[in-house]
Amino acid sequence: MKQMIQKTLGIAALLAGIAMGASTALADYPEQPIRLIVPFSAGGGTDITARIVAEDMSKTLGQPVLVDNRPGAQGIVGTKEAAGAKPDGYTMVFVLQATLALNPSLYSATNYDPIKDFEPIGQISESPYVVVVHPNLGVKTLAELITKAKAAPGSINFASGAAASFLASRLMQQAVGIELTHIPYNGSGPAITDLLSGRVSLMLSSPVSVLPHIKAGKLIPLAVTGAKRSPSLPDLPTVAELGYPNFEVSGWYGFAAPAGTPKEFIDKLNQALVQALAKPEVQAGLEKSGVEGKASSPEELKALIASELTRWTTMIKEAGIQPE
Amino acid sequence: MIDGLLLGFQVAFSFDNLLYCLIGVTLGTFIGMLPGVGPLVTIAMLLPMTYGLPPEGSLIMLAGIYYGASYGGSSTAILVNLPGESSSVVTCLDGYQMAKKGRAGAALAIAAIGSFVAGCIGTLAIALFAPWLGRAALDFGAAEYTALIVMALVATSVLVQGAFIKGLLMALLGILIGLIGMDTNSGALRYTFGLTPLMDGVKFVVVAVGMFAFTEIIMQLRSHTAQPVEATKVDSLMPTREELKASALPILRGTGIGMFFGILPGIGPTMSSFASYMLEKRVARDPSRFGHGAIEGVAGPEAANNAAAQTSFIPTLTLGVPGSATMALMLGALMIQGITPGPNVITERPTLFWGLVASMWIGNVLLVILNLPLIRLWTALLKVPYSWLFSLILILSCFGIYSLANSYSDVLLGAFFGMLGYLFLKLDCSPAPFILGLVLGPMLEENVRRALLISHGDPATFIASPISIGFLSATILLVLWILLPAVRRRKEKIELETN
Repeated sequence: MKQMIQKTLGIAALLAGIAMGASTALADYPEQPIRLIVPFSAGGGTDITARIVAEDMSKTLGQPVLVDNRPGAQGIVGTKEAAGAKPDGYTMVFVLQATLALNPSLYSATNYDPIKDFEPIGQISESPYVVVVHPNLGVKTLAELITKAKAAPGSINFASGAAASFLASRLMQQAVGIELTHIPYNGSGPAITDLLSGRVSLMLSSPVSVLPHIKAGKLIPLAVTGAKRSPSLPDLPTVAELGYPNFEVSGWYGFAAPAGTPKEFIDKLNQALVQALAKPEVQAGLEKSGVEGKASSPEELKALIASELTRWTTMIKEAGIQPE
Repeated sequence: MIDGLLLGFQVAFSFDNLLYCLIGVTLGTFIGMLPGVGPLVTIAMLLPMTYGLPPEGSLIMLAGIYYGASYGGSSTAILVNLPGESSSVVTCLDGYQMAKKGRAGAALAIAAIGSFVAGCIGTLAIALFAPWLGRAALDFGAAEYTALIVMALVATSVLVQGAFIKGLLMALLGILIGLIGMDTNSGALRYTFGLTPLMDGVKFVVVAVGMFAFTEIIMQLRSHTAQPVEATKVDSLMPTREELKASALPILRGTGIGMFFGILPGIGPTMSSFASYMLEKRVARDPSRFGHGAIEGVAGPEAANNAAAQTSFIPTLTLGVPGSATMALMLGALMIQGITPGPNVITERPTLFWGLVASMWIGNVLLVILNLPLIRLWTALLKVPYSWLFSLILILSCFGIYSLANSYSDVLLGAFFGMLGYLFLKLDCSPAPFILGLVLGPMLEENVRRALLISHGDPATFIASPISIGFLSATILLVLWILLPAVRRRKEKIELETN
């Protein structure tokens, strides 16, 4: 009997210990700096966006969120590193359309599973494209572009600086039923240069990079590709408004953790993320770097990743693009 | 224009802005000396700090880092064959040879003087022609670039020392290595052998550090000398009258070349220093001196890369078109301050534009003041025993390469190119055509394919604009010029034989 009591007490103490240990672990989390892997170079657009949010999250969490740039292979190197990291709540990864929804169908080198390898934390931004043309093309509206393009399929050139912009352009062409010739560039900078000189006629670009040229009258905007109008170009209609109701394409950024990271930690990180994006100065910083801040719950980001993966995999397969 | 410059000097001479300029160029000089750690990384890290500064101050400081780095990169190139910046690779060729002959001081001084002269003329050019030059950048499309690169590749043949075929094969090998990675047009992977680190291609800095710094260390270790024998006898710190005289024209020519290449987006300082070197070798009375410590081979390229660093601000500021990743960051810095660069920036933000122009000139003065007295210190570095110096260079180089992409594989790749460079030296193959092939090959491919895509397959696009026609005619003239001496020599030989 005595032995049994002792045993019960022992187990109770043990259980209490575990419970207490767990609760203190959660209460104390985070106890050390958190690493945020950004799978692109320091100083790029993605990096700046990540740093703006990370800096504010550091304040809320009481521990620095350190950006660790792991560029290489279209983001595959850094994303894979995160997928294999210890799921202890001290590693986050910057995820986006390109790494989670496009790479698996575009590159056979993709060695992670966008669904199984990650625990989404939350979305941080959304970035619709603006369709711009050079004045030489002689079109001022989307309808005029469609008429002109249908008269001579393939005669109009469009530029892209990255796979995401190229695929978004393809999707738009499918939706409105036109065919343009693709001129690929390494990055949007040189693409915009050739667009400004009129060597190429059309591009889907982030609003911030072409805004000064639109204001100077060097480029003509035709539409935005998002679900709603862009705050920087309030007079410009969306493609959906112009008669293609289901059309919507936007880039998105978010934070995730390696799969297996405890739910409590994910929630705590999500809270810090949502708090950061509620602040006007964070929103303003994101807007200047070219994206619109938009927070979401872990579940919403999970759903977004799944739907985007399906959408782009189907689209890339239909377009007949083979993985390299 | 005069009013503008006066306004600019008022802005730039304010205590705060002078301080930002000094911080910028000092920091730039030091990071320029570290391989791999370039202005791009430094500016990226400092960018968040500039949010709180006034726009003029932040741009003046960031610009100082940028051209200060192109200045500092040459010091290590001359002293220890370590190109701190990609634009100073060319300086290794003759600068290090000068140092080996005990003329390190003269080489450093000429590099500083050349950069200063180029900086001054470049600044003046920005003040005079910025809006006009900005538009010129837009006249360069894929077809025009193709013609320009073809001209540069033909000019490469003068870089070849010894057997011509060997040089040609080296250039081809450079092109092949340059093509490693993902093809922009199709996304196809080429020569990666399934290795993920090769997907993005081989970085230029990795090759440059490997083939110059690492190779040199292997060479020196082989020769069993514990003490740098030759380098210890540093004759005089300053260049002689003859050296100054020999450098005057190359500096001016280099400045012109640099200003031209700087304006073109995507070409920049590295190309301009190569172009200047090739020109100097071509016009030299005795081209065989090049590669063995010709002061013209330091003066011209150093002037060129500094002039290019200055004029590359023109398209960024006046068009909002960044010519390089570093310039894209500068543009980002401006946009964060709420300034949108574009055709109207000069009229809308005169204090910013003219303040920057004036600060560039001040920055160049500061760089000379900073660098000339330091020459004695740097040359003293050569007296450090090799065992210490080499370990330090190796550590710094590996650190620099690693910091490019936080990747171990880049360090291994650097080691590979160190071995390859050693092999090249043993086989008497000069690395210059290889490096140029590496830079120009992929550019040529990209532009030829883009030009044909844009023209829907019509090859007439390559001779459609006066710019292309100009470059291609110049190329034909160049070929004739290269062939002529050979013809003349043969004629002389025949005459000799018949006599």
